[in-house]
Amino acid sequence: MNLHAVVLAPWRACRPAMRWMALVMATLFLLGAIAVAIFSRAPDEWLISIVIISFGEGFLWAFIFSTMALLAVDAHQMRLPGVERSIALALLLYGLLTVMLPAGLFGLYSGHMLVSATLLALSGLCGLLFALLPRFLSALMGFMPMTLQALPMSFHLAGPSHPGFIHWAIPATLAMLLIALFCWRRLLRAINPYEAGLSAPMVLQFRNPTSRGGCNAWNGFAGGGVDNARQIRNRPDWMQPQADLRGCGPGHAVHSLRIALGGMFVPLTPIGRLRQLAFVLVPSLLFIVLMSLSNVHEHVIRTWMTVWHDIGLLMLTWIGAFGSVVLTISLLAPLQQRWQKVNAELPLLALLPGLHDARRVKRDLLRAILLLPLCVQIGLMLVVLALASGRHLSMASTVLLLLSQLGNIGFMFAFALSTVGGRPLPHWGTGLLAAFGYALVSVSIFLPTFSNTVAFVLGDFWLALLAAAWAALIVMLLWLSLRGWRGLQQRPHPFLPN
Amino acid sequence: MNAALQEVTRSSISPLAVHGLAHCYEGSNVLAGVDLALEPGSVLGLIGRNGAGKSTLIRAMLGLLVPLAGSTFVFGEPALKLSDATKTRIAYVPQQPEALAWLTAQQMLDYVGRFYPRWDTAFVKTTLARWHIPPNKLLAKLSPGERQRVDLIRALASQPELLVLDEPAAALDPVARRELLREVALRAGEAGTTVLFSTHIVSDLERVASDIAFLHQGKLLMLCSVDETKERYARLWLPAKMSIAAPTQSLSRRRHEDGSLSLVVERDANGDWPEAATLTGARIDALGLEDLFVEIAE
Repeated sequence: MNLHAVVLAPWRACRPAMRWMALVMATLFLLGAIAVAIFSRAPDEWLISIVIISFGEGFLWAFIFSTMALLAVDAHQMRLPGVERSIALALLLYGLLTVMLPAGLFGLYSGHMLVSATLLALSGLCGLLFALLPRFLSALMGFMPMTLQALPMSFHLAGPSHPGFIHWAIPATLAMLLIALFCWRRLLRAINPYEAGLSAPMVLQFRNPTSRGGCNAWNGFAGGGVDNARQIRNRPDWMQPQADLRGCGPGHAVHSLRIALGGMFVPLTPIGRLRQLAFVLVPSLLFIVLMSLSNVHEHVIRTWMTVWHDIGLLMLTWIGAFGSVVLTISLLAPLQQRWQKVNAELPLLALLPGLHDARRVKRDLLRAILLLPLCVQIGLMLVVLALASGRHLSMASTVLLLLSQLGNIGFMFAFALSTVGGRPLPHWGTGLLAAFGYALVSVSIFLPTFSNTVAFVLGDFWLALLAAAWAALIVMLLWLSLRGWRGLQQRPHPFLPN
Repeated sequence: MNAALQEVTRSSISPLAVHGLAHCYEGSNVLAGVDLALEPGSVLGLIGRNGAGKSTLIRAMLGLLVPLAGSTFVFGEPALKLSDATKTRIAYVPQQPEALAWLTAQQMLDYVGRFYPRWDTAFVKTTLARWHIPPNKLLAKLSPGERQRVDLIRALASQPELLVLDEPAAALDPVARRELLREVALRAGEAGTTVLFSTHIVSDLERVASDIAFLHQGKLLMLCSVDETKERYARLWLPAKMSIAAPTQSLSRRRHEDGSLSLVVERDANGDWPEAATLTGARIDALGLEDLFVEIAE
């Protein structure tokens, strides 16, 4: 064990693709925080800056520092001496560096060192818990920023700008630290820590590269997802989607292609569809039934009603907006995976009779890939717009939400076309565009959901900058779509691997 | 054209033919001007070391990739623009097949079967049972060997006229391998199916192949019938003092520590070995298929 090993531990544990993505995101957040600190006219600009930095901190702990757990697991399994101790020291070192350093600087700048440190620690731990908690709980961590914003309102907890903030935030930080330690220990002591079921921590997903080029290659959206076959192997039988094969065959090319594309494209049997919906509906119904059956005091119900009134619309807007992001990624990841494998669906489809000539199969393929997701995206857009109207959002906020939805649709089209058209961007280009797009979409969702008037948070200059960023993204997506479309037209058939 | 003439034309067209095929990955040549044509009803074993370009050649031949140069034809049609009618005559099993992992074996076979007019449902049912493959198990959850066998059933059930198998026996146990070879031989012998299969296992070639093609560093070094190889190729050993007389044309050339030379040589058009073989002290050794492969590939 030496200092060199301690310092390099997270960089050795993390895949370069993920490392670059998280670093880019963290840098963007840092630059955003600096820009706010310099240019903002808001009274609590230090707080806005520290909140923005906290998001970057969350990213770093979720995607870079958390991967040290993978190294620790491997070291534990292989009985490598000294590595676990290096990792423990590395966690401590980077914990101090990422919390105390910016907090110290903010302390000097604004005099709010303790609050800054607490906020940074909270967001770092949120990131770490996102990676270490079982996968089914990690999904809920995505709501943490919204919950942190909404719960203090409902439970009258003091916000970061109030003196009472640290009275509840410090115990909450300590509690989260204990949970993180427990999860870490549980992972290390597991008999089979590589078992990637639903109860396995999210961090295990980061060790499953789908790239055929090796685990060190950034692999577009495909690299972010677990290989489909592996995913199916790890899933219990009762959770497997039940494909509906009725009506497939030469006369029903679109339906048949959807079956062959797998993932979210596969048409499901009514029972399969019901089972899929049950994952969302059962917990919600259970909650409602329990609430109505339990003999709770009226004021408890009233408190909950208040909470739901405060955060319900916010949560739905959030779900609708980020649901669109999730839908886009879950469409593109399997698609890019399919078009990388030379021994899977592509040769089968290329030689499958009954799909007619190349021109028709290209058209049918695009319909199979885009039609249903497009309908869902439009549905989500309408829901988000309805909710925005329900929350009486300003025109600028509504436009931003609308843009975020349209951006997702644009991403879906551009990357789907470039994938099947054989003109995917280089990996670094995909990474940059995805990071830029994600940051822009996130900002366009965050701002309206956290404030009823965007102009209150952003001045005209920043709004103009945001508009310019959106214009740049739209131009890039149009260019990518056109490039993909031309590539598809030039391909003799669409089932050629990239 | 009347029906009989059509039939003659159809049967005389090579099921699979390539000319001047070249391809490269990331700047390194994988295929360098390959010319190859399969005779109808032949069983061609494609052999070569890892990375020799066997899979790339097969994929290019079937129009599954766009080669840098050269032309490929399947039953006379450009491989990249196959008609539905031609596709019904082909079956291909890739190395380590992974297609449709979200379906059960039975579902996958039902799905694919709907597209082939001559799909043999009875064959599917009996072979699944004979090869002990659980029909209701998801493909993703099958072992690599089972997965390979399901794909072989898929290929054979379509009753193809051209069967292309990329390392079909790689994941199979000896019993399953023997059964597969028996099935391939049966199809070729009784139904006249043309078969192209790549392999590392020389004994498989000897068992079923009628012809052999040896691919080395992207070039087709040898193409002849299996029976012919023993007669046509041999190892010529020359002592150090005679190595100067070594023929310039040889399939491989290896110098030993004592200065002597080993070459794989071929009989000329008259059936004679190169002249150096007649020199005193020179020796001609007959080579089995495996020895021949090793001598050339080393």
